[in-house]
Amino acid sequence: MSGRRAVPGPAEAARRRFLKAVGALVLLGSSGFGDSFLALGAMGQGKTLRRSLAEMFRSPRKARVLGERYLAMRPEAADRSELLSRLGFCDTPVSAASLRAQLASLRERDFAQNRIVAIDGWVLAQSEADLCALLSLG
Amino acid sequence: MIDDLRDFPDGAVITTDLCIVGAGAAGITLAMQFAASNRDVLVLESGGRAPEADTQALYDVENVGLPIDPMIRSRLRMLGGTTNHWDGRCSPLDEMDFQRRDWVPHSGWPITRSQLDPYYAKAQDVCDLGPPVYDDRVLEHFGIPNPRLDPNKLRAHYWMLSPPTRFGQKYAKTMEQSKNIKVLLHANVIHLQTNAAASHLEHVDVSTLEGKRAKIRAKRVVICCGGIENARLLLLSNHVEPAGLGNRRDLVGRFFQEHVRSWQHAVPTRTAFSLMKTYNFYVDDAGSYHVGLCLSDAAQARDRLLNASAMTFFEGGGYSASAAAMRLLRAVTQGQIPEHPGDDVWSVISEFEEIVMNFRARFLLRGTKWNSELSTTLLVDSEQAPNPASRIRLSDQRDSLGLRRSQIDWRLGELDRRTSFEMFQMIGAEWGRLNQARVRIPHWLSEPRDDWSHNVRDVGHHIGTTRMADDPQQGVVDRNCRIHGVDNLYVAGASVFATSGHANPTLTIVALALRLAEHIASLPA
Repeated sequence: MSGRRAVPGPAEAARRRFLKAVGALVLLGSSGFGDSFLALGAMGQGKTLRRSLAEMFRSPRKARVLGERYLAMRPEAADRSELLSRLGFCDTPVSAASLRAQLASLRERDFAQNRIVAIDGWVLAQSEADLCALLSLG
Repeated sequence: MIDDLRDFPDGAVITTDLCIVGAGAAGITLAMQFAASNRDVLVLESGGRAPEADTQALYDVENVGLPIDPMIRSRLRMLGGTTNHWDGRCSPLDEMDFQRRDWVPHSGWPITRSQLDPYYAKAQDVCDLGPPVYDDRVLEHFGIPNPRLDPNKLRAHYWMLSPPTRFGQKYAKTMEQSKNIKVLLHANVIHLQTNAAASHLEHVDVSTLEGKRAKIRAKRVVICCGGIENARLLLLSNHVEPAGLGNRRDLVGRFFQEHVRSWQHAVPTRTAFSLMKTYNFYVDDAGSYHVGLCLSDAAQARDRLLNASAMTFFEGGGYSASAAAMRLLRAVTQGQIPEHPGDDVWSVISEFEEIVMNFRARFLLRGTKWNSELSTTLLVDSEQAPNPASRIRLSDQRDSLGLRRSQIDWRLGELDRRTSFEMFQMIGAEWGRLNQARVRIPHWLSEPRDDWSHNVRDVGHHIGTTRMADDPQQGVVDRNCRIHGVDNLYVAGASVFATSGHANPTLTIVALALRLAEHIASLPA
């Protein structure tokens, strides 16, 4: 009963060029925080948060653009403390691994419950859109 | 026996028990069922054994609706018909496709999926598919990871792939050697003549391109000319019924349906291999399969959607900028000239960001495995809602036989757009939940706009123009594929489908032809 996997089929209507435009937007499943700790309590100080968020994305620049477009669609979401709260960030220092797990859990819950946002056609979890918005707010 | 009308005397009259118009998947399947019977069968084929430009030109159409692909891609006028270039993708319609859905106007067949199941099983052999396996047994058989889809949204869908069977080649020998089946090549049907009440077909008028005529007198006639030509032939047969044969209720040619195709790239979140491990082609001695996705029944009912499926295609690493950079690097270090230096240099320049990202992902961000060398194309094929305004009419343009050409007016509606949009969105949500990929919905699908439908593509599946219904007010043929009101005229092919589902139609065409053959065989000779 063992089968062999065939060669993938033809790439019908594939447009590799498109990948260039979109590949950078995708959130990394594992973002390479290593074992460093993020003092989330110090997020208000800005630099740590910005840097940490930036490292969550393949292309922080494009993630910021996504965030700006999201906020253009929903200007009322441009509330930094509200975004932090929705993402469950608190004053207790947590490890990067915990943060990653927390965001992955949020993302999975959002997608499962259809809490999704389409930005430029990209189907994103609400928490992903919130992260992009947070990044764009600086 | 296979003859050529050009070798017959002009004005010949041929009598037969069963006349089959068209030697494609439906016509040949039908004829073959009578191979061992005592009934004389005459198969009329417009073309020859090979493609001929002047015969193929009889298929030219006037298009006044949405853009459609050139007809040469979807219709071949020769022995074996369009099976001479089909790709062999098969799948039965879903049970739900046959049901009346209150959110889909004009939905519902007069027969059920279970009534067609025995013929689907036989159709597997006709199409050289092997035993029918269109469910999760494919996963078990090949050890494929379960896609873990939310059954309230999506489920895995399985296609079986025919070699593909070229009906003309495969069954020609049997027809040649048969004593009771005669195939007449270059016999173009130009008119179906009924009695004065239009209740009984008396004869079929045929002509060669050179003008040689013949008359076929048959006890029963089945037209199997394809989803466009079946309607055209009925509309052209207007000597008794001015609006066309079987068209007293102005239904012939209406409800023209296609499969609505849209596509977009998806970006794998980690590596494309997480998708490739499931959504791929699988082959072994038992058969060939392709695993994709489709909307679950629950999602269709809950969100009031049509049926839809999606398949993935993966573009290999040779096309990525990273691969191009590696080729250039290798060539430089080895002192060689790359095979396509211009393409590779341009790829590196135009998509340098991909190389940076790949480098960063692989060497700077420890633990990441992102592989830029594969991209994924997501192809969505949706059912089209039956729409009486989407139709085939007769054009004022004429072909070389002097017959009015088909005028195609393909139209789509909001339910069609919403189904494609929701399909992309649901796949995006599911692949996002599973962290396999992010999906981008084509921008032209995102909002109800008049011009959205100009961006989709037809698939060359012509469906619904002589639809099946028990009520003559609702359909052209009855559940036995007989034209309402005409006691000896039948239709076979996708034109009798009441709705299109998302499945490629050939397997259902063959199954319905087998069912029709059984019905005709049960009638007094």
